[in-house]
Amino acid sequence: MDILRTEGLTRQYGTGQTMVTALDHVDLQVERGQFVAIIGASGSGKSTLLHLLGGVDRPDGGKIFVEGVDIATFGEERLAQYRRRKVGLIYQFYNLIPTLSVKKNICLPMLLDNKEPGKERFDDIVRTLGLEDRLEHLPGQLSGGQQQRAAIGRALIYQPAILLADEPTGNLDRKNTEEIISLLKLSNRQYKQTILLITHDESVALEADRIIKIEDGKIISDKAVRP
Amino acid sequence: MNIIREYSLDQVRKNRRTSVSIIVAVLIASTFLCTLLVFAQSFWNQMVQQEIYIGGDWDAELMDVPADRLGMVRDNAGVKAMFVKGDNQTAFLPEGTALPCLLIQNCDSGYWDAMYEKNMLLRGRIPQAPGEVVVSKDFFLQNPAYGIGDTLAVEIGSNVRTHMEENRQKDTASLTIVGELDVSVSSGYEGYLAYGFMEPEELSPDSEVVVYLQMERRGKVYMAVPQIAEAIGLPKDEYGDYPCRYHAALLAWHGVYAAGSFFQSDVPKLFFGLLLAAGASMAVFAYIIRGAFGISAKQKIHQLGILKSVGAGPKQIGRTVIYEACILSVIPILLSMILGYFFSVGVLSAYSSMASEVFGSRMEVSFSPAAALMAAVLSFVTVLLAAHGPAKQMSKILPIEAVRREQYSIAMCGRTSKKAKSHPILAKHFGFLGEIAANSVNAGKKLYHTCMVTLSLCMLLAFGFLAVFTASDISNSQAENRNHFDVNITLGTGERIDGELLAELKAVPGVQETSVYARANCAVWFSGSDQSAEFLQAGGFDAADGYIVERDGRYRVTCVLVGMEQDAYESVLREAGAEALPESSAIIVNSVAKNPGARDYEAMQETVPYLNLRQGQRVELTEKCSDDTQGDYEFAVDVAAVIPSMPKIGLAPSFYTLPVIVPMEEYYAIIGNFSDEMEVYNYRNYVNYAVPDGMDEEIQGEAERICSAYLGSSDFMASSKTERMRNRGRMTGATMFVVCSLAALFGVVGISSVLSAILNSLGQRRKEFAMLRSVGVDEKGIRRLLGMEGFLLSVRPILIGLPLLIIVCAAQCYMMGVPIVEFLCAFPVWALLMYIVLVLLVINGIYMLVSKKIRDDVIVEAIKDDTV
Repeated sequence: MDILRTEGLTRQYGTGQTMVTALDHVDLQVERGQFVAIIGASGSGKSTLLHLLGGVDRPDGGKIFVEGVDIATFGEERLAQYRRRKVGLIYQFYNLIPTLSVKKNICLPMLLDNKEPGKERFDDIVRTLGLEDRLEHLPGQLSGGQQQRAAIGRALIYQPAILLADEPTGNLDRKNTEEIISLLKLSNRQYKQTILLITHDESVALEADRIIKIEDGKIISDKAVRP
Repeated sequence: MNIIREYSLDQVRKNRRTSVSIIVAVLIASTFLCTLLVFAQSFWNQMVQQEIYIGGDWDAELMDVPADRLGMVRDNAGVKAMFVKGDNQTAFLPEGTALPCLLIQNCDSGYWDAMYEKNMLLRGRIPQAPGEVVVSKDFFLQNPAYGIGDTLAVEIGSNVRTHMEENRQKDTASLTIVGELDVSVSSGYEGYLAYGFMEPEELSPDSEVVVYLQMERRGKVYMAVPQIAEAIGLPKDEYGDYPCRYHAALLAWHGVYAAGSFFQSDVPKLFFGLLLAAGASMAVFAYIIRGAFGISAKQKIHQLGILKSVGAGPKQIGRTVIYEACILSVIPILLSMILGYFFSVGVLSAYSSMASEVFGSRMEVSFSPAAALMAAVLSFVTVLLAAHGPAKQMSKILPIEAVRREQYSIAMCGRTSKKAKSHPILAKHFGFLGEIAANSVNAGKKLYHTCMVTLSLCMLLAFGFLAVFTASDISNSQAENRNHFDVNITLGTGERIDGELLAELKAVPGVQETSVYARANCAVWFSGSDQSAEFLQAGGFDAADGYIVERDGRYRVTCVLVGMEQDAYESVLREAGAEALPESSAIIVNSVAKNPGARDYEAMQETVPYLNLRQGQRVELTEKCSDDTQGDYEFAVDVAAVIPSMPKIGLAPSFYTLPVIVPMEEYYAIIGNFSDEMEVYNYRNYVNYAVPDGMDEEIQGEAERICSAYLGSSDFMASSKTERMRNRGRMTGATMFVVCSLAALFGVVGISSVLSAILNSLGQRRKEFAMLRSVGVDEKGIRRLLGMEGFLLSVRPILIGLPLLIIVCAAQCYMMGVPIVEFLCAFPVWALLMYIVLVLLVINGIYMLVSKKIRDDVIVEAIKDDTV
């Protein structure tokens, strides 16, 4: 069953002669619980696709159905709610709020909804991420790997149906890369979350169920790695 | 704590530099608004106190109230307090005094407390018990044997105006003189003015008194007082009004107006002026502070993008800016109450010192809790207005653009959206670095926009006002130079001016020419056919909209009835080749301005014959010169002569006004029939002197000495060209001091926002400078680059402000008919140059100081990406 589907998804930047088409009528379907890797050269449009799916950018054309609802038609408030509750976004450069503690950074989507996470779930995530003794620290006091784990915690806290990761290991060493990928796979298995992961690393891509290759804003290959 | 509030508080703590810059901007804005309200309240208080000082603290006056009905007035629920004056007596003095009697007006204790007569006490004290009196200064002047504390054995009669009648009843009494008052009464009364004390309860029931009222609800005074008059059975006059009067000037300051008089009063205009000034200041400060919030928002745009990408809604993002505004405004707004007060005390004290000689009193600073609350609310609204823009802007950003910090470059700076401009002149003279400097300043245009506008505004405000005053001064001097007379005296006692006083004034030595006249407004109705052909050609009555009223084909022309002394009147007649008519003889000045709208003085003075009037014609006039005039006395004059221009007596009638000159005796006979209020007003006499150069102040002093011997100090006013010029200089200096003080506050905000913007800009460009250094630009090159940037930045407010200032100056010169050369000679160009140099020094100074850190940066550290 599709959790995510795009129809003719298009995104352009600039105007006139300087206009660049980052995504060009992309049609894509992702099933619930699938772990999808998106690969492609720099500037191919893979990050743009992820940002549009995450509701942090607006398409110039086409539709984005998430659980059967077109998010491209959402107003600002509803889109913000979607970002809070339906998707978790993980960036290459962690993007934590430097003035908030690790604990608050992880809980941020729920706190924005004026909610507190259940203690059991929070402890479970923190334990899995190995951040139990770093919760009151500020992001600047953590290593790169720890910061990325905190960012993953933030993406997981609301138990979103979809996890979108934009080169989450691009800034990490091999050991941390392996740990992060393991965490994502665990999350995929344990919480049945659908994961879309952008990567340059072929070995990382091979961990996914399916690999999509994008070039010049178009999907040029879509292969299932494992059933 | 709500996460958005917590985040905002953390940001305020973390971004100290930006927070301090916002706090300074809010502090100055709040101080300005607080100062404005302190000024307004102090001015209002001064006006109210001045009105009470000269007119007394009462709302309404009921005349001819029988003493047995005073209780009814006092017990009326609408009356807060009641004061009584009346039971007038004539006290016949013992033999040997210069004049035979004291004309006593008795007042109760409330009257003495609330009314103005106590302020005219020269020596001693006010009466506190029956039998005590204060007497006018001329009593002591003419009877030096008497002093304060002396007891007089007198015979008492009643009613001041009939004291000369012989068949009256007299009682003996003894009066103790307890003080001397600066008042006088016409010598026609053959007595000295005196004030005594009375207990209203002891008045005989049939005596009539004047009652002054303070109302419980001042706003209802115009409704309540006629009801009180009706309730106590006072009769109406011939106009259908009860014998009551209102303290309209004081009531107006309290916002209470008679029906239809709201727009005629100056108070609403001043109030709207204040509203306008407060609104404009709030708008300007909101704009200035907006820049500071904008910088702060830009600094955390990346974090706001993160918040948005994890689900913060647009309202929550907007709230981060609003919360920041609230957190940062509390302390400066509270602090501004103290600063504003002390700033006002300083400015108003200095203003008072400069202007007190002109006004005769000092302005006290007033600041009530209500004004403080109002200032705080206005300041807070200003801050919210300022934060609203950036809040809205931030709430609209796309999360991914903010995360990538693209918004900064796309929407705020335009760095990437536009092509880099070429700067051939800078490139030629300063090479590659010159071009980089110009591009950087261009790229930061929006960032520096607020600072530029603020500094330009500061320049425009201070020097614009100076231009207005300069042009006004030149215009006044021109008008003064055109004035034939050097010393002007106004005498107004509410009665016919003493002939002896006028005779003495006319005999002042050293005077080359004297004119004495009195004037009263009246009107005449003409038909369209009465207009002269020349006047018709110039537009006629139809072109005089606002001056001439048309009703049923008849036109009401305002006249000024001028009373001239008999010899002067006959002299004018002789010059016109005419003779006085046996009765109601009048000279008509039949001319009207051909171009009343002309700016040039000479063009404005050009006249044409006004009406088809001829010698021997009878002209019917009426006291009712406007619909509001209460009296409607009608009278006729026979035209003895029609002359083309106004005799040089120092009177310049308004446009479309027809001067009707009559002998002084005839003038008094006519105004004697006017309504009471207008009769009293029109008894004023105007005496003008032409004197040799440099003697005007000396002769003014002599005239004042003579007037003081006859009149109370409030009954006359003398001024001279030299004194007026000096006072204008003092007032200009005092007003400019206030304006420049307020403009200086704008300047401080401007400099503070410049500092903040430069710090922010250079902080963000550390990487750029490190990169330049990494490719070989040395320390001297960086200094040169920053020096050029500083210079280009500092000339902008001057390039914006200077043309605007020139427009203001040119407009002023045009409107006031002042020649440019004369204006430039009087305008303090040196002060403008000083301001320009100061702006250049300050901005360049800040630039060089903050750029030192850039030069000290370790290249590799500055180049490293510090993104968390």
